[in-house]
Amino acid sequence: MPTLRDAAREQMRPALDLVQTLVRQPSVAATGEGVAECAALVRKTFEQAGGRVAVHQQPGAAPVVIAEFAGDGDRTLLFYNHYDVQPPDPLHEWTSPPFEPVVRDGCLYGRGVTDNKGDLTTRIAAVRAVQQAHGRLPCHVKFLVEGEEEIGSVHFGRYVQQHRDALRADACIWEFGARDVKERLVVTLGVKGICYLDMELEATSRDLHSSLGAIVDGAATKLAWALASLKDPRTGRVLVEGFYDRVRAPSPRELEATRLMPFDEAELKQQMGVMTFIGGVTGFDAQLQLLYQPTCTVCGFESGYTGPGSKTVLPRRARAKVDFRLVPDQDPEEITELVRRHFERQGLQVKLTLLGGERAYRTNLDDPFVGVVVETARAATGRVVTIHPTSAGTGPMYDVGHALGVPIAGVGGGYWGGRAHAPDENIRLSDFEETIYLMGRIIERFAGLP
Amino acid sequence: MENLQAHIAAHLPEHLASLDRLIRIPSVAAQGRGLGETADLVREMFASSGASRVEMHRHAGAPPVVLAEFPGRSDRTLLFYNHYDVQPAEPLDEWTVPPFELTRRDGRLYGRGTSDNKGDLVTRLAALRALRDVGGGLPCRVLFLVEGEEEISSVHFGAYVRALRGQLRCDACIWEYGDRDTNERLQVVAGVKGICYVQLEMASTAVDLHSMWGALVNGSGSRMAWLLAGLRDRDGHIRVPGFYDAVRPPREHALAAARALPLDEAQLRTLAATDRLMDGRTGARAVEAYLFEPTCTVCGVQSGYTGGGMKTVLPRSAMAKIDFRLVPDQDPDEIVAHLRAHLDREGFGDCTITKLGGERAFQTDLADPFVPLVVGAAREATAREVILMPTSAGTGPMHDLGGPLGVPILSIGAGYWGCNAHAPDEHIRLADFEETIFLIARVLERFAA
Repeated sequence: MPTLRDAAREQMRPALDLVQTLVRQPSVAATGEGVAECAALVRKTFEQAGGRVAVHQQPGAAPVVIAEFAGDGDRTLLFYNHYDVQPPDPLHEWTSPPFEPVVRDGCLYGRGVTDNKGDLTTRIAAVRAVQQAHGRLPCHVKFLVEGEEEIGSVHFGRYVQQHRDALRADACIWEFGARDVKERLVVTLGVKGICYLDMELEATSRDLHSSLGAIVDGAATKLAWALASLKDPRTGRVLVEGFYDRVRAPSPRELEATRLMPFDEAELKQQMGVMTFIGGVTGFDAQLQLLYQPTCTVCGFESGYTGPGSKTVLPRRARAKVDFRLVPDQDPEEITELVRRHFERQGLQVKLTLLGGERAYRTNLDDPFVGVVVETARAATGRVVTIHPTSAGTGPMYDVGHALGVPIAGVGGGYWGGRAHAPDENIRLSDFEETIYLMGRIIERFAGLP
Repeated sequence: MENLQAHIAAHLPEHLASLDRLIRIPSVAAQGRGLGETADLVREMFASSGASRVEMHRHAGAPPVVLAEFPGRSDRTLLFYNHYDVQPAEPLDEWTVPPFELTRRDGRLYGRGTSDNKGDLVTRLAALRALRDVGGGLPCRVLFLVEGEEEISSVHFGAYVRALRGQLRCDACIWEYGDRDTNERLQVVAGVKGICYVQLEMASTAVDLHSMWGALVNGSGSRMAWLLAGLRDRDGHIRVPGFYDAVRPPREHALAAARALPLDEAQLRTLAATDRLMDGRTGARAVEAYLFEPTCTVCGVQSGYTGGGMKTVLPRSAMAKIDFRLVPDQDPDEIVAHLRAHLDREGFGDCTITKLGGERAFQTDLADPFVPLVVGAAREATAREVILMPTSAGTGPMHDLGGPLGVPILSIGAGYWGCNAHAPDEHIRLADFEETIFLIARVLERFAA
């Protein structure tokens, strides 16, 4: 029987075919284009690989594909991935068409190659490689592949709850993982949550001549007061009463891991075009603020006349979109309620709609699974491994981690130049091969093999 | 007098046709649309109404002003001020009729500009026509000065008036508009507030960022909210240091006129389409604030994503439009300077200020004999109770005229309390339109006598 290294190398060609087949099938969650077809393709792929497949579809939701590969022993490793992709716009900024994958200079280009079809492919290839190397799998492997990740995994939480038994596992490998600018491999163990609110305020029953501004507050001014009251501009502290009540401080282990995370502050500031960070924080303090503090960001604010020139109107209505990034154990529904009360106390009648809510999740750094993944990653790739106790971004990790009670680690085939969500999305073929082997090793080590 | 009224009634269809022609050209000053074309039409209307002189005056880059002269029997001269530009029609989906044609429905005349200010211009031309046809000529000399930038704060009007001062000599001026209040009383307005209209723009980051970076960076959406919220307290007090320095308290007779107004808090609430006025705006205090206090109003704001659903973006830029209404003797340029200093102090040094319009306030001395003349004519011609407003809460370039010419200015016209000026479904009532033609004719007769 071949070694895992050889088996992984043999999987390169079929894996490259597979990822290209997947990319050729558009699956844009935002528009719905090709989502059902891609789910069918994923199903077929798992079936051909010898998995037991179930496709579940809730009304109005994209199908979720579950695949199970039986193995020895009673331990189960779960892979979470998604088959949907971001819209390819702006199309004219792509060097080659987004849904026609092509290899150039050692990189594979196409929408979804790094987010997240490439990672799905490396994992399927790894299952095959391990089977070839051992004639069987040393543990059970399950795949959970959804199709709404790029639109906030709207139905995912409920789905996982309902299928807890079928999804039972001992640990989970999350969808992605990148090599940073210094070529260190990043293992991500958590994400922030989100509470995204639409805010609408109606001040008067019609637009008024702005001369009435002497006696009545317009919607734009009132909503500005409401928004301004949410956060202290100097410290970044959210001023909503009760907002911090459930905030869990980072553990000493998390702080220690954070200290080891690379953080190029000067580069970051230059890219963003800012001189200072909120509160004047620098270095480690800035990292702590980024990863462990909840946020409040006005993503959109509109009212009245915004065309050319002047219009002397006192606008009746104003709208804003506000994004709160949450940390454990904040609850988006509860935050919505606190914001509602915050506005009520000020006598501001703001209609709130929760457009997206996810809770934060952080895997316990002391969990043995973290050690297995980190050690395996280091040994399999020869790279320096960087642990991110949490990402500053958001994903449905809580939906899986909390419902199934499993530790979760994100590790995958991406790199710093992968252009996820942007034109010319790509992966490096060398990373692709490395990741097939890495995933195979994780399966072996998880199963207790040397 | 009966002849005059009969003539007006008989020729009403022609006057409505004139109004329709004017409404059909969307002369939106803010968007620079249809202005030259409308000025041409106004000139043509003056010429065909028997003007002895019609002149188009152009200032580099500005819409033309139309100056017309009509000879009369007495040597007294009355000047009419009007404007042919209108507000943008947006939001279009809230109109129940097409904004740029005249729609007659339930005794009302709908269309952008019917109330502000094309309807008034037509009533004045119609009054001249009636006086000429019935009386064989005008009782006094009449001048018209019609501009095309009133809705964008009459940017070049002051310069026009200074240049044309020699040709504008007159004894008194009738201003552009006038309303009937919620109790159908006719308002005579003796002053206006000034304005300082600015556009603010900021860019806080190099590009739009993923909103997860909100932990470290304040985006333009949040910063603009702080900026706007910091301009004014909830009791109306404007927080820009120096803003109140030049404010001259109202004269005693202006205050007395204000106290005599049948205007109360309930009416102001109706006017403001709300059951909740600004904090502290109760009783007589509400009326005084409405007439004599400067304001700070956010007319528009835009930052980031405001479409359907969610977009997790930390917006690079933000823009806002702010309208400060001024009182005597505040100066718009000084207000901009105070605002600049305030923004610099508050950490918004990167936010640019563009002044889109500035006008000073003006109040006619209520002791002038022109005041009882117009009030008396109005009472007699309409049989309405007449309300003398020491000043409007609105703005116009009255100071541009009243300052250099040194004449009393009063405003009367064809509007009413519900005419939706500046809003969708702008309209006037047909009966008011007819009444106002007669009223203007009577003012001219009394003025000549």
